[in-house]
Amino acid sequence: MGAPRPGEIARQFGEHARLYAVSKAHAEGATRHILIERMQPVADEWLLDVGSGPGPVAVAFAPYVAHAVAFDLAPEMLHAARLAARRAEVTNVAGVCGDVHRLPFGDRRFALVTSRACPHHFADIGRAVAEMARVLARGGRIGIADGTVPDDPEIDVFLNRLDTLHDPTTVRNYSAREWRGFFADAGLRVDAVDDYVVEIPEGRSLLDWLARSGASSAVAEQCRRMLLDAPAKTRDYLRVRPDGDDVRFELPRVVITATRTS
Amino acid sequence: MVLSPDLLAVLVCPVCKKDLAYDAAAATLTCQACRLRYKIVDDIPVMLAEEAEKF
Repeated sequence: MGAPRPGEIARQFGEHARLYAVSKAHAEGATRHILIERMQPVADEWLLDVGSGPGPVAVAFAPYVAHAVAFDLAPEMLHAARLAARRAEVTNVAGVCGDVHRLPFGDRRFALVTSRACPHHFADIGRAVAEMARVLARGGRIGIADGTVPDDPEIDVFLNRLDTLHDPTTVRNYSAREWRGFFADAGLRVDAVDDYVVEIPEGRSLLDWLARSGASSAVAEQCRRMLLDAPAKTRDYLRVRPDGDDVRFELPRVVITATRTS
Repeated sequence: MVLSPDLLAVLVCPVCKKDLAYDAAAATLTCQACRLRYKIVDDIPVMLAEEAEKF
């Protein structure tokens, strides 16, 4: 299967913007705060949040920066981000619709670039990281928080297959080692890496996770069986546990931050 | 609503990365080099070449 086209991704997320806006992992997850702690935003800096969805990162950073730009392929997500900014009473969040592979921003315009829960959808990760690095100012920081896999081929294949079933616009969840390579290729200096961050302490509900992406009941059952019948090391990595008709599990995040030094 | 001058200052054409001409009345951003006109819908610039108007 080829990489999803921008129109497919925009449609997938545009149709489900409301569900992502109220998703606990997206709206409240811990990685937003880790990014703020690691990247240390300063009041006169500009933030670009790539694949902003309904704006949880842009809105969380907004009180600490001069301007936050929420950037997404789906206009519906940007409307949701605008509402989230109003609810949070922040007035410095602007929305721009576009594609990460062709960012519509001049070179070195942002001190901070983030992308959370989105890079696994990028059709060309190298091009996307190069574009994010291009718009970063010298001394600027980039922070990624996204689904990840360990350096274990079996768990890697399992987890990416599960995520693609959940959402066909998934391209790949990358390991921390792969992320280090992407940043090195883009001339960025890696500052910190966590390769297993949990967004919500009580674990994910499979039913909630699938409902958010609009998966069919057949896909839901396939994912349920995959998780419950997985090899022990995979179940341990994903912290799989039955919960009545539901299954609780974890989708670990990699959080990696880097600096543009030249 | 008019796009903020701050945001306009950072926006370029996603294709050629050159500056854009802003028309507040028409709610468009135009790239003369690529001959593409990007729409601003509900105050959100839609910076996708495939959705821009060719002229």
